Parts: sequence; structure tokens; C-alpha cells
Amino acid sequence: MKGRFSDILQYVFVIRELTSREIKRKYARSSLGIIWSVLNPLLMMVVMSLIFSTMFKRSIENFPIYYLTGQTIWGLFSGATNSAMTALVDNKSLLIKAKLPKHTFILSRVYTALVNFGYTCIAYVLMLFIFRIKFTLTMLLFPVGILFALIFSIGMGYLLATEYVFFADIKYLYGIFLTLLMYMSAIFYPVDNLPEMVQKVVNMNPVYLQILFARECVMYGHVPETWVWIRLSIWSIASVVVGMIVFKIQENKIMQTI
Amino acid sequence: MIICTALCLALIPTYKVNAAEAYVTFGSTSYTPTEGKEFKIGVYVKCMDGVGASSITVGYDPNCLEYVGGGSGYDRENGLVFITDDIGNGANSKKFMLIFKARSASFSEIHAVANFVYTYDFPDVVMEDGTVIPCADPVECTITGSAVAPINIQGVAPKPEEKPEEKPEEKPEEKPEEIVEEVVEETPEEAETVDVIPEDESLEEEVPVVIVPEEDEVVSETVEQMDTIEPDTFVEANSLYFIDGENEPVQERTLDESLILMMILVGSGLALLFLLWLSRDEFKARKKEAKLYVDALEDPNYEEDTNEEFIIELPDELNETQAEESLYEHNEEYEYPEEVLQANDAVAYEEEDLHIINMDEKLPVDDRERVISVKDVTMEFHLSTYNPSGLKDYLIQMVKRNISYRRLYALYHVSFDIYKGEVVGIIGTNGSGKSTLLKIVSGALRPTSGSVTVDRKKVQLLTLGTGFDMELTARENVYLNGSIIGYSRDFIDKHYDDIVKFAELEDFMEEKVKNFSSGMVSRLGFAIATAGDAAEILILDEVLSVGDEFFRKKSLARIKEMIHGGSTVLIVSHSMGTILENCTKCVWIEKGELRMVGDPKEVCDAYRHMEEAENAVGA
Repeated sequence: MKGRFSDILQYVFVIRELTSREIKRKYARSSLGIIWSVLNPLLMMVVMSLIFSTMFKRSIENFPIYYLTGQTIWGLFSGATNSAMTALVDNKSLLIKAKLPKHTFILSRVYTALVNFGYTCIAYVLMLFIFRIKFTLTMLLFPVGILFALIFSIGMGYLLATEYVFFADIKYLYGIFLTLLMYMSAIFYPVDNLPEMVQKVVNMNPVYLQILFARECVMYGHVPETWVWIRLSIWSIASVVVGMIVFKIQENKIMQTI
Repeated sequence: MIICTALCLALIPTYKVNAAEAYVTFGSTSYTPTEGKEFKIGVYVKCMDGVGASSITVGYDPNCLEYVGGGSGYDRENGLVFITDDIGNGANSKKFMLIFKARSASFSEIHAVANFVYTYDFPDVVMEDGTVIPCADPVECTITGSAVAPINIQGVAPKPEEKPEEKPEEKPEEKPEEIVEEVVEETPEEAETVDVIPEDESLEEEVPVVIVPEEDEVVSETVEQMDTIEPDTFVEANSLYFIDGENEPVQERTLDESLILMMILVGSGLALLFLLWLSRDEFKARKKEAKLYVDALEDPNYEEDTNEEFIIELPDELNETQAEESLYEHNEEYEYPEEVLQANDAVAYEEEDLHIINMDEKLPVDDRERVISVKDVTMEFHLSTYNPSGLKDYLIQMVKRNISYRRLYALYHVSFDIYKGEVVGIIGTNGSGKSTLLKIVSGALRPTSGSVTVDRKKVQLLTLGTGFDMELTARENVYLNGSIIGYSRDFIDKHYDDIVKFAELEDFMEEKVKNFSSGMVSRLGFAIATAGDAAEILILDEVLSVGDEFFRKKSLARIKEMIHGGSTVLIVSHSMGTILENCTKCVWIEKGELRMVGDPKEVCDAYRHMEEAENAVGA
């Protein structure tokens, strides 16, 4: 029992070390460092709002917050999956040494994205105050939405990291897929304006659902509808299960290939 | 001068207390068409609750413009275009495109008159085959925002002689104070009269207009009846010099929003500059440090200092022989004078007095604790014989069934045992499977067949320069690497000073590893891997043959210390000197097969023979 506990401690320690490595590395050459995690979404928000807020003035109330909610969650998902994809290959040399389960490296990349998201949230909360979004109890559901996003990202991360070992081209394919997914996530436009068919597809998009979840509970003060909960749960669980299975099956082959 | 003025008017029925807002606006606040050319004007019906049935009449000056198409009906004589839509789309806005042709270079106004917009929530109002479906409740109409939304814009070539009867000069004088009376619709049963009061220039107030149903609460409307509206009143009601096309509340909100956005932009810009300015100082300081560090490296005194430390730490005798030995090693790798080897052995035996030294294969196995047992291990790799140049190529070849795999046995039925306290050297030519064997022993790989019995928690694999992140400082790397190889935070905290001292990097721990020499990196790696007495089984992959010779001696001393403490060591090396000097047992693997296990001297001799023979054949 005690051994198990210390194992878990070690696990946490490794993930934290790896994460702090990632973050330091990411901003190693910039002078502002981690502050970019706060500034970047803010500046993006300003740019996007200047361009699009007049276009969607009638249909989107409070465009900057609408966009920022979408962007932060999108950032979490795309950051987590994109970096988790290369987690195994990048850490080749550590992987051979490590006695820990190999998926620690994937988890650490997702955790890095979460830490980044935490910094982005500073900007987000600040904007909520500036744009005078009233506090509602439903805002407490926001972390639940993030949890859905996180679980989904972990599953996708497992899948991508495994496939990337065998098929490096997936990086480029995934880049294109991400672009498609981004435009299907209604980050900066209202869904209502889309044709009905497209709306149906968008409503199936897990990332859009996560964004919708967050918007509902932060901007509009609603508890998200049941179908949103159901679809999000299905997506998250399915992604984790598929990811884990693929990873487990290929685990030994990964080490051989790397 | 062609000046087209847009005039917007919106009448919105509200359902009960619903304060539904609806607007009719034009796509642009002004148009400057070319004479004789067709152009399009977008008419937008906007309603927050969803656009339902709507009816719009657009008035224009028939002298200047010619209606071409786009509406559902027209009256060219009076300059009217009717747009009727009895379904709507439920979205926030619906767009209609009208096509006009500019007749002459002149100015004209276009205005929307008598608009009805129902919110989508009123299914009652939808027409079916022209029949009137009554609305159950009384309908209130409100004009929100400005009823008049015109703009003037200078157009192309002004032709004063062709001006129509309305002269732009007159317009500014005519303040639009008139009250417009408009009969919105009349049905045989009931009629509504809407009083539209266009606001004054200030455009500040919303003008509520109430439609009072004359007879009863039920109001029904048909689109066809919209024809009865007289547009003339609206022509007069317009004003050329109203400058805004938007209604007031919306404009205020955007203004507010963009103000905030601009403030954020400016604010973060300032913060950025400030931080950059701050970090410049920091950067300078960092550069200075780096320079100091380079100086220290180049300083010959510094080197000397470290040398002295080495010498003090090591026993003199050992130091000398080893220095001698390494000289040989540098000159001629494999040809040691017999005496030196023997002397070496002797020194090692006497100095270290290790209990394991004299243990050989003849001793009964039961006496010793078996720590690593490699049984019949086979590792098989699939190598594709054909390397596709891309996915397309790959698919083509797969379809053609051209892709086949070659089996490569990195290890083929290898078995041996290693007992506690042994120092085992593994030799073999490049690509003979040594590293694969180490990976299997350390648990990174699973063998294709066979088994390895070893407590993987105790295994510490040390390879050269791997696992260091060049962008991090040495201190961060100690923690990162330590955590990966299984040290807890407490353990690293406790042994941090020892690690630094052993690696002799006291002054460089806050320096980034990318500035280190390869010797420094391997020193640090060795120091981390051998920290404390954590490693019970230490696997060294080509570690002992790098670094300066002083450090090499120091690390050998450390390994011997560990062997004292009961550690088992596996050494992979191409340097026969290292093997002969340190090992108590030697394993020779050649092309995946186990050639020989036994006394280092015998095995090394055999290995050297093979190489010589091969060289001879090659020559």
C-alpha cells in the first residue's frame, strides 16, 4: 500500500518535472515567457473582435467573450493533442531510461496544455470582469466542461502519439484536420446562421460541444441541456477507451520502432 | 452628383409584452452606381426573435432609377417595389436583393416604407394560399431605433443639368420634422393606423408607435394589402444629411465595445514594451554570466585546480597505474604489453580487495544471488525490404503486394546469468545487439521470446548524454533526469549537493546545458545515475570511455565503491582496457548470438583474434 502511494507520488513528481520542462522549453527563447500564454489569447481576441464583431453584431451578443470562450477551449484541445502527438518520439531517450509507464509522457503533455490553459484563464476571468458578465452559479460548471475537454484530449493524445510513432505523416494530416475542426467549432461565428445540415454536423463536434457547454454556463447562465451532457460524456469516454486500447496494443511495438 | 439616400423604417408587432425588436435596413448606407448600369441593393429584415412573415415596400425615384427585379411586385409609375415574404426563416436576419438600374447621373433616395415584420414565434400569421389566418392577440407595433436611416455619399461624375426635381441643396434646410401618417393596412374587417413620427436630427429617441386595432383584438394581415400604402409621405420625410445608418443603441454598444478593445490593445502593448524593457536588463545580466563562464572555461588555472582535486581524491598508486594505462589506451587500443595488464589486475585486486573478484564460473551457483537471468532471449525485428517514398507509393506497393519484411534477429537465443556483485562487460562489434540486450534488461523492450528475470526497479541505465534537455539549466536537468530514473524529490534534494560536487559543476548549475561541453554533460549524467546508493544494478552504455581521464578514474572509483556496496554493474564498451581492468566477467555477443561468456581476459583475447582474422581477410 505504501509502495503504491510512493509510486503515485513519483508519478506526479515526474509529470510535474516534465511539464515544467515543457513550459520552460516553450518559452526558452522569448523574453516574456509564460506571459505570452495570457497575452496571446487577449490579443487574438482584440483582432478577431475588430474584424468580426460588426459582422455578427446582431446575432452575437458580447462578441469578445463569445470568441474568447471558444478560443481558450480550442487552445486547450489543439495544444494538448498537438503536443501529445509527438510526446513519445520527442522523449525517445528518456523513454528508454524511464521505469514509469510510458504514457506518463503523453499525460505530461496534456497537463502542460492544461497549465497553459490556466494562464489563459487569467486573461479570461479578467475579460469577464471588464465586459461585466454577471456572476451566476452556473459558472461553477465551467470546470466540468474543462474536464470533458481534458478527458477527450487525453484519449486523442494516446491515439495520435501511438500513430505518430509509426506514421509521422499524421502530423500534417492532423494539422489539416484541426483546421477543419476549428471551423466546425463555431469559435467566432454564430451557429444559427448555418444551414440546418451543417448545424447538425457541428452539433456532433465534440470540441464545439465543449465550447457550447462553457458558453452556456458562463455567458448565458444556463445549465447546458441534457443532450450536450450525453454527447460530451460519450465522446470523452469513447476517446479515452479507444486511445488506451490502441496504445496498449502497440506499446511494445512503439519501443521497437523508436 | 449621384446621391442615393437610404431611408429605413421598421414597424414591429410585439406579442403581448414581448419587446421584439425588428429592423429593416439596407445593405449599405449609400450607393454610387454607374450610369446605365445595373446594381443591387440588399434589403435586410432583422429581428432578434427570428424573422417571420414580412412585407416591405421600397420607394424610389422613378426618374433616376429603374427597377429591374428582385422584389415580388412593383409599381414603376410611382416608384414602388414590394417585397412580400410570408414564411420567414426564423433566423436573426433575412436578406432580399433588389436590382435597379441607374437611369441618369443624379441622386435619388431609396426608402423602405410600411414594413411589417412578424417574429417567427407567430405561426398564426403565416399565410396559406392567400387566406388570412388571424392572430389571436392584439398586436402592438413599436418603432425602435431611428425610423429614418439615411446617408449621403458623394458619387461619380456630377452632372448638374440632369438633376431631378429634388435638389440636394434644398434638403438640408428641410428639417424632417414632419409627422408622417401612414395607413399600414386595411382589411375589410379591421384597419390599423400607424402614426409614424420620424425623429429629429438628433436621432436619439426611440419612437413608439401604437397600432390601435379598430374593431377587436384580432388582427389579420395579408401581404397583398400592402399595396395600399402611400409612399409619398416617406419621400418627404427623408433627410439627406442624417449621417448614421444604424440605430442608436446598437451604435452605442459597438462604440463601447471597440473602446474597450482598443484599450486592451493599447494596454497590452504598453505592458509588452515595459516587460521587454525589463527583460532586456535581465538578458544583459545573463549574457554577462555566460561570458564569465566562457572565461572560466578558457582559464588554464581553472583546469589545473580541478586536476589537483582529482589527484587528492584518488589513491596515488591507483592514479599512476591508471594514468599509464589510459595512455596506452589512447595510443594503441588493443595491444597492451602483457605486464601492464597483469600489473593492472594485480593492483586492482590488491587495492580493492573485492570479494567478488575471484569468483568465477567454477564456484557453485547456489552461493551467489542471481540478480539478472537472461534465458533464451530472442529479439526479432521486422525490417521492410522496400522503403516506400510516401503514402501513395506505400499504398501502390501494398496493393501490388510488393512489401515484404525481412526478419532481423537482433538477439538469437541468448542466455546467461549475472550474480550479485559482478561486474560484467559486454563486448561485440557495432550492431551486434548489445544495446538491444541492455534495453531488454532494463525493461524498455520486451523480447520476442525468452525471458529476462530482473527486478526492474533496481536497474539504472546510463547512456551517454541522453535525456538532457539542452534548453534547461543543469539544476533543472538534475531534477528532470532524477525524476525519470525514479528518484523521489526528497532523494534528489538530499543528494543534490553530492551530485554537483561529484560532477564538479558547482559554478555552472544555473547555466543552460547547451553551453556545456560534452564532457561536462556526461559527468553530470554519471553523477545523477550513481547518486547515493540508489542503483543496485547499474548498466553503463559506453560511459566509461569518455570524459577527461581524471573524471574517468573518479567514475571508476565510484563504480568500485558501488560494487563494494553490493551493486551489480553491466558495462558495454568498445574499449578492451576498460573491460579488462574492471570486469569480473565478460559476455561477447556477435551478430545477435552469444559467442562467449567467461573470464574477461579469455573473451577479450578471442574477440581480438576474430577482429584480426577479419582484418586479415579484409586486407
